[in-house]
Amino acid sequence: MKGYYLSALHIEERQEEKQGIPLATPLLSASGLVEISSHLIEAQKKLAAESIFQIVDWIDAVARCWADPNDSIRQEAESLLPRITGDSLEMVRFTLNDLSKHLTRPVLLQLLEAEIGDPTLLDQFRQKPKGVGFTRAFGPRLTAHILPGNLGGTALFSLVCSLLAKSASLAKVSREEFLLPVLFARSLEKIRPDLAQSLAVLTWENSAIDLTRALFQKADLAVIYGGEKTLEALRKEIPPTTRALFHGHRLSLGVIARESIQKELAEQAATDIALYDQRGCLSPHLYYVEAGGLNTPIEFAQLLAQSLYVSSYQLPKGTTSSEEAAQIQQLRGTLPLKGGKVFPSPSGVDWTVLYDPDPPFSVSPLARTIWIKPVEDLSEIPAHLEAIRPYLQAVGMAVPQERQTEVVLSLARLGVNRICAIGKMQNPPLTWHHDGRFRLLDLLRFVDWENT
Amino acid sequence: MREKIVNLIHAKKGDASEKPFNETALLLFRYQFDRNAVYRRFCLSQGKDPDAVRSWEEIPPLPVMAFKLAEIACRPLREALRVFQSSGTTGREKSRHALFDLGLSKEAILTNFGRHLIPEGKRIRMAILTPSSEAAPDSSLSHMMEVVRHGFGTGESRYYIEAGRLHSERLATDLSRLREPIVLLGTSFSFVHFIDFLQAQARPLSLPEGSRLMDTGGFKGKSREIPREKLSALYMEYLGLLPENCINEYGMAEMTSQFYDGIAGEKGPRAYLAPPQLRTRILHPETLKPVRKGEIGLLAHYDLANIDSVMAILTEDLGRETEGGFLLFGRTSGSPPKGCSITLDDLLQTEARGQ
Repeated sequence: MKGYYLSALHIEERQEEKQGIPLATPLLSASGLVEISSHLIEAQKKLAAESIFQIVDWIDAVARCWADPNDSIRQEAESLLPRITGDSLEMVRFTLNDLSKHLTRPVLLQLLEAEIGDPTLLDQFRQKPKGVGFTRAFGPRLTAHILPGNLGGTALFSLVCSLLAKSASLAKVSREEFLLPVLFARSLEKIRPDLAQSLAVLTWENSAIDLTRALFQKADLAVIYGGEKTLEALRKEIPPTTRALFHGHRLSLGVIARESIQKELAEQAATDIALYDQRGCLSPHLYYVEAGGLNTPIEFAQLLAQSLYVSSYQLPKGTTSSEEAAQIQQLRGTLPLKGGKVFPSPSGVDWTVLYDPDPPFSVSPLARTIWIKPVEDLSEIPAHLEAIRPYLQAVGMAVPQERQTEVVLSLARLGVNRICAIGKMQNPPLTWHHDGRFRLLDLLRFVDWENT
Repeated sequence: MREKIVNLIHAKKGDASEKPFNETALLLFRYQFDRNAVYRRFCLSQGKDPDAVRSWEEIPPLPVMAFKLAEIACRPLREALRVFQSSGTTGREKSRHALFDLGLSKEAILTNFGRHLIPEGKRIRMAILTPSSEAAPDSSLSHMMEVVRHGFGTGESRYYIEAGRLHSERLATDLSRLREPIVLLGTSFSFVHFIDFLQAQARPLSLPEGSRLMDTGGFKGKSREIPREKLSALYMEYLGLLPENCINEYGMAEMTSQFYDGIAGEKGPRAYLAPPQLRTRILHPETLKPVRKGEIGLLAHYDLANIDSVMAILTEDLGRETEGGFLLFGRTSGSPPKGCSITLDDLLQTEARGQ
């Protein structure tokens, strides 16, 4: 199969094998990428002429295909994704179902309305509600996407937002998570081959920086996902005339008040941990649990371990890398020496609850490894998060109504950009301000026509 | 027991049969279990005690991270003659390993270094690309360098790192005037630094015949890492050293003995070889049970020269058994997880920025 997506242009390929799957990967040069970019910019004219509602319908049609177990591309995803990403089949099915729910017409319209109010601003000049004259929104002609290697869903949302902005997209995907974006592009092509020409999903080595540079030269906008080192390296390659949006890695956690500790909550927490095997930026690393309630923090740790056991059947874990396992073993072995307690899976490293009385935030090695840290009072938590302030993303919260305002405000001031119920951490609405920003609005430029 | 360990250290290849290693290991396990409260707690948490252990392979290996969290020693720390520290990347705390028996440490270091770097057994001039042990008293590498300089070095041997700076100019000048062979010793990173200097000056050297080099790990936390083959090619091009004269050492601040991946001057396949007082088990990362022969797993080292700390250590390093030794497959310590996360290096940088 093709490990990339590019329509109407032919490029040289290299034949590879990944987990026993024969794969054609593109052989690219800087000049080749420039040529592909020019082709995409040309194809974007067609996309720009389309009405926003037709684009919404187009994506909606893909979502419907993906929701259908008999769809050939969905079947391909189910058979290949577990082998390529190491995820379990159950997790892949969940991912596909969840994506298709988020890309339906009502959800997309909700996003458009939430961020730009009147979607037709993308189609024509509209009278400004206040002020003088007319205004209209335009997307970039070409957006360069450097997509994340940890979650296919995040990658798709990035492409979808560019489609809504009527921008052509050239996406660089990672070698681990190339398949979902490639299949998505193929589904788009199946429904509107003409419009799918404005999309390319390619892969090249991070070290081939001249290729990335060539792409940034041609693009109006670069959307870049990655770890600290990637962002630092790519920041230097952005030409002054190209706008760039950076999405670095983030850390999420949970906060549990003493009144809220109970079995159902542990079950909900286990879902947040099990989904995507903690690979998402919304996956919790740690729960701060308040002492002084009917149930103690250590009892919560125990309940959570039981719930993770149940989750391991409902949503089986994918493969764990040796590196992850090595770190988990170190923590399992040493935590008891400093007064902590470990609640491990009975065999292997399927899950691990690390109860640690030492309060500063600890980063989890992931792969269903979770810290539980007790606090005397919820008001202590912000001080423990100070060191990770720039990385804060979401907080799952189980706090009684009357105490919420204070907790929410202190977390919000610190830098958290999403606060939700425990058990809902992996289900952000499409309208969530990802990284605290607008997903679609940030891509657009507005043209004002003062005709008076 | 100490005498048994010393005998093992000096055992000739082939003499080091299973029996003396096993007997000494079991004695040492009992000693460490009795004297080292932290290790005892660990063993009990694993359901292991000396009465239940019949073979050295059943002795539970302590995760190396423990050296960061607690004092891992069988004697009171105030009696320590050296305390080595290493800043790993998987935690904020520094790893601390106390040394109480300089004599034993010297035996372990010299005997094995001699076998691999000085097979002819004659004193030789040394150029050492580390700080001296006086300047870096908490560095186990500097300690080792001092021991081998004393044991095998001639009077002209010297250190080339002072106040954190590598004196490349002085080293290049000294090396260009040589008539006799020399041993270069240092971290891989310090050699890369030196070769950068030679490259910039377009000044390749050709060391006298019989010269050799020992490099060790040393890329931890550095901005670039160079693959082994490339490094070998650079040693050839800029120092005139053939690959068989360049030996890689693998050691840890938490261990007293070292591994070397060959014998200077001898061609042949490379693998990390253990001295008789040191054995390695390769364990499945998920179950900690031994892997099947030839599979990659976590390395657990059993170093009997670690008399006053803990002999059995579970590392974060991955390796695979091969003829007579093992191959390293990367040191996982500090490697970023595949999810959306940050490494502790990033975190430390944030903190440093905030200060």
